[in-house]
Amino acid sequence: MSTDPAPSRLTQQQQARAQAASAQQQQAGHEFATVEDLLRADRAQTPPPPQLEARVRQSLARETPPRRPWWSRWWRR
Amino acid sequence: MDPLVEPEAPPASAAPPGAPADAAAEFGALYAAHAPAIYYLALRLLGDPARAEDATHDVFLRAWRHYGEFRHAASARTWLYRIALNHCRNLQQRWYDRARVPAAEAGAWEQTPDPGAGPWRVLELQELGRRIQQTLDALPAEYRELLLLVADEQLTYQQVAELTHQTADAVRGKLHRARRAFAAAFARTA
Repeated sequence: MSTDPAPSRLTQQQQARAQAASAQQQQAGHEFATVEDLLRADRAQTPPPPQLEARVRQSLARETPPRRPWWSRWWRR
Repeated sequence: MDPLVEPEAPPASAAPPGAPADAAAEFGALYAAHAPAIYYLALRLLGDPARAEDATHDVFLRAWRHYGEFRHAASARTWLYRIALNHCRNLQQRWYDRARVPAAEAGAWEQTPDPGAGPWRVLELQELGRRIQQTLDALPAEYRELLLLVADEQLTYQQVAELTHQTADAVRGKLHRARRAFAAAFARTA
């Protein structure tokens, strides 16, 4: 059984400091320098719905394959 | 080679079976690379997730139909954005353009005091989407499009200018006013 209170007090101080830092961070929130940064952050957290890809694939499967234009076929020869 | 054999495509591919293997794989990669940007543009222009999903679906369907004519020298991102912008503009005109601030009122933002250039503080990222949507909905369509396009790091001012049918200098000038208008409207959503 430890009787030395020093490490315990140190731990408490560290915890208090960490809590204060966390509270400060929460209060400050997220900071963006420009409108564009704000929009980029929004875009990053707004991915397309997961079902969209399957939906697109199903619709494209009903389409005829795209034809290359005549100049493209000629160019590839 | 049996043409009915399903072409190999990357797992994330949206390319249809039955398409030539190279076109299918290319289009699958195109979808994977650009669908998030197209969906985001549609979402913030139309303001509704279901409509944005439908619009993104239609954009890629239209892109597939014209994929053979797409010149690979051009930027795929710009090409898809052009289709998306035209599609969203048509939808807005058809659906609920009347409910928005008409472009003629864009000058009203000139009278708004400049709330400063930032920094922008948001307490919760979850709140960000709602506030941005409210802000963009309050802006003239021209400002909305400009800000969304310029926020894409893959586009140059010149490409934004081509997509919005104006010069790069005009884009820079309007962008300054668009940022100010956004700042004023965003402050009101807090």
